[in-house]
Amino acid sequence: MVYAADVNGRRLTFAVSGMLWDRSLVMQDVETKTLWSHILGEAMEGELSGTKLESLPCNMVTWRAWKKTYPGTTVLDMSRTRGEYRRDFYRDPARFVLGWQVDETTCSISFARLLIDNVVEWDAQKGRERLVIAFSPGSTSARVFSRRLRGGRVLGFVPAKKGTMRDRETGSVWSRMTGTAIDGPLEGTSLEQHVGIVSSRRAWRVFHPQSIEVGRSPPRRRRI
Amino acid sequence: MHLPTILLCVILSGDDEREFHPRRVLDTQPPIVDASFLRADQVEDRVSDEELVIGVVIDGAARAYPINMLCGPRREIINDSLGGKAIAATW
Repeated sequence: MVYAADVNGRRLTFAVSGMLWDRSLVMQDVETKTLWSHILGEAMEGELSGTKLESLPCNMVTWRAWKKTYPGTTVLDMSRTRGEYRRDFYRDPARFVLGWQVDETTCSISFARLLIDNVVEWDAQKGRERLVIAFSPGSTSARVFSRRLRGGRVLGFVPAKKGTMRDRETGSVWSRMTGTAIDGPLEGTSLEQHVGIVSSRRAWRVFHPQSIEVGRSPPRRRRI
Repeated sequence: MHLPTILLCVILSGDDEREFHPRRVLDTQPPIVDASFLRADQVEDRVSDEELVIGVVIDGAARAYPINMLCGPRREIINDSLGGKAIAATW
């Protein structure tokens, strides 16, 4: 997860507090010593208690896909650990979800479901939000985009080959990873990206007990 | 407590109000504020194509944080700046 560090006009510096809340990281800012829940992005104890952090869209993908899509990218230069985080991180995809929030509604979809349905439309019951969840098994990119273009037009999407999707209205082909149309009448247009959070199913359930699961549970375990 | 009492407590407490009960497992760590970064072509021998990164793009500037480098209780938060915006990249 990536958070904005400017909170109500004040720049905060975050550190590992050394505490866990239900196995989940608790952050502490150096300036006020407030304790923040990492998964909720919310101040739980201290001066800034109740404040929410601004979460920024990010994407958990293979390095191969990221540098191909963003050749000018920079990359963190730190010593390596023994942690193995490769595509087989999702070897049991039913254990992981992609979660998102719209107004007061919290939703998630299982990666096991996304393996079967790579492109899933979701409409808010209240309000105007029309979203599409786009997954690419090759890169593990899982992102949430608005289906409403800047002018107000709402598109519908179906999966197309090689990490793309096609809109029903114009037939344009869009990248599932960037949300940008790469061919067709809307070429060059970008969908607005929403924050999607990769989480273990367990943690998501614990911290978002009211969350609605989108799509029925898949019939059997499948591997990515 | 008898079982019915426990059940009643669970029902009355609801499930949207969770109490904050953190548990200390290690000392508070110093913040990471001075991380350095390289270009993609400079890490070919250090970051493998198949490993997962957390990628973020702000105002056209793209940055990747290999999860391998973030995993460990002392390095889960990188205080950073990208595309003119102060951020905390976390794992």
